[in-house]
Amino acid sequence: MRSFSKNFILLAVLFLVFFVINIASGPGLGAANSAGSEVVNEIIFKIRLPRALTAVIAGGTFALCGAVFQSLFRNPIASPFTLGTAGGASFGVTVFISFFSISSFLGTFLTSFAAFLGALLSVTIVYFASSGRRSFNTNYMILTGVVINFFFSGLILLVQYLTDQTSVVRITRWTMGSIDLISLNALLFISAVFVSGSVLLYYFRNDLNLLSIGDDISVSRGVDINGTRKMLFIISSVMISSIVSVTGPIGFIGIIAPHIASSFFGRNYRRLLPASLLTGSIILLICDTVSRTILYPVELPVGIITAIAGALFFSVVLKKQ
Amino acid sequence: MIKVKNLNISLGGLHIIKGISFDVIEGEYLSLIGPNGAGKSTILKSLCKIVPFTSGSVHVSGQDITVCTGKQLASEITYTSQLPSNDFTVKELIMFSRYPYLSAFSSITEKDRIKVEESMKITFISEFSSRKLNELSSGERQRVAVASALAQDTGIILFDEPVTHLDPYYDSQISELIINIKKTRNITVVNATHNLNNALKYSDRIMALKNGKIEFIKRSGEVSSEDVSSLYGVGFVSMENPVDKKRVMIKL
Repeated sequence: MRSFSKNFILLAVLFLVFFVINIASGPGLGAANSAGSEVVNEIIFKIRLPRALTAVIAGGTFALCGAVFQSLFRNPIASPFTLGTAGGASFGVTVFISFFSISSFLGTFLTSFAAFLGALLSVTIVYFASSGRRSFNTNYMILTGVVINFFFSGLILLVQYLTDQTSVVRITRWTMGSIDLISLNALLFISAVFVSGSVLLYYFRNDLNLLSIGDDISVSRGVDINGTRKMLFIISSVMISSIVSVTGPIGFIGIIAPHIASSFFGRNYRRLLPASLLTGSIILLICDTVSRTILYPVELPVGIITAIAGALFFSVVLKKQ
Repeated sequence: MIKVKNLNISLGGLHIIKGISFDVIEGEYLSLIGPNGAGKSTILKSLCKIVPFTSGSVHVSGQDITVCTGKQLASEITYTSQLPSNDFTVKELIMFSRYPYLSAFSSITEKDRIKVEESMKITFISEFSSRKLNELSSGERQRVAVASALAQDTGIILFDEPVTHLDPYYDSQISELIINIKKTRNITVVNATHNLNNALKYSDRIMALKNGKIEFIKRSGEVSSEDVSSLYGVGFVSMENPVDKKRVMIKL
């Protein structure tokens, strides 16, 4: 037990360190310093801090939902991406971007709502494709998720092909996944969803533990498995949608963060949820720092970094097991 | 304790349990025997809502189980089969048995801790409480399964083949463990088993199932070798165990 609290302290320290590094890195601060502290404040509070917070929230959300999906599907590679939830959300956003403007607060909210509808659509398809069978066949659901991902990718390409040039550029840029240029309204929105969603997921920690072991044992311990699954799907879909609508799809964190977290904190969701959240945030903070500095002065969309780094990390882990 | 009336269960279009009625009396040890696919597991699972039934009624401790919440039912009755493999430690897993008594934002109470420690002590697993479940032998795992059922603190425990795949040493260890907790804590035990001689030795009554129907329910002393021979379709002879004078049956 004591080693777990030590690990948590270490994780919190790492979090703070990378948070500060994220804010401090990149061009401009040195130059701005000579221009006066007002400019420095402006850069830090209006640009860097919102961006770092977005990284924290997005990374935390993907990691939390990944951990939840891994329990629900009893599969270590289940995540909002492997199951098509993020794909559905992306489709919702793509459709929305091609027809409407997203600059206002209402726009942010509506984009998220479009993403949520897309996410819900894919979750419903996965759910019903595998219901009617006696048991909840998790491999079957994951295959369904893969199919749905392809399906939505096709639809996104179709919408891109049919829409005008400006929208195409916006959609392409958005699907790369990035956390820059977030408006204050959007930040407030995703923070609210993130905080309430995380608290709600933590509320289900005991259920998640049992569900990760098996259905029979969950029911005989008193878990309402169908109701709980539905609730968890809805909460994760709302959380994923709110992030995806703002940042675009940022893959792999949902698989990797819980994986790393569980090797230091075990699989008990009482610890795994907060540990995954922090780990996911740290990963995205690091990836964002790298994306800003690696090709300086060119800035890469962070989704490219997470995808490449994530795939490499994942293949190393696979090889080891 | 348990009242089952005209129970029918269909799964995937197959009519598995065909109009079964039986009672389980408080504090008794009832064994379920019968050939593979007779419906033993399905009945046990339906008693705690793991498997839904098509028609009929099940009352546990006087309550209709279809109107009970999961937690209500789980504080009366629990089902234990082989534990699926997982990465939790023994102690964590047993703590999960306290689920029916936990509320969402409360943390684990002293009472929960005491129950868990006690269950581990009775089943002699305290020494490996911090090991992971995947690292245990099947005999150790089976004791963990019994401990986790005990920690749930229910009046009724349903065992689904608790000694299958165990060597003779662990077989008698687990069987003695079950009979001990039944006696010392007045727990009602329903045990689905292929081990005929265990059923004869330990249980008060034996219920035999075949093709989803009850062949017979008898006091274990009254079960004859003919009953068993016709149940399984192979010949059995009955003999007296020279040591404890209980009857044993030998397959011919």
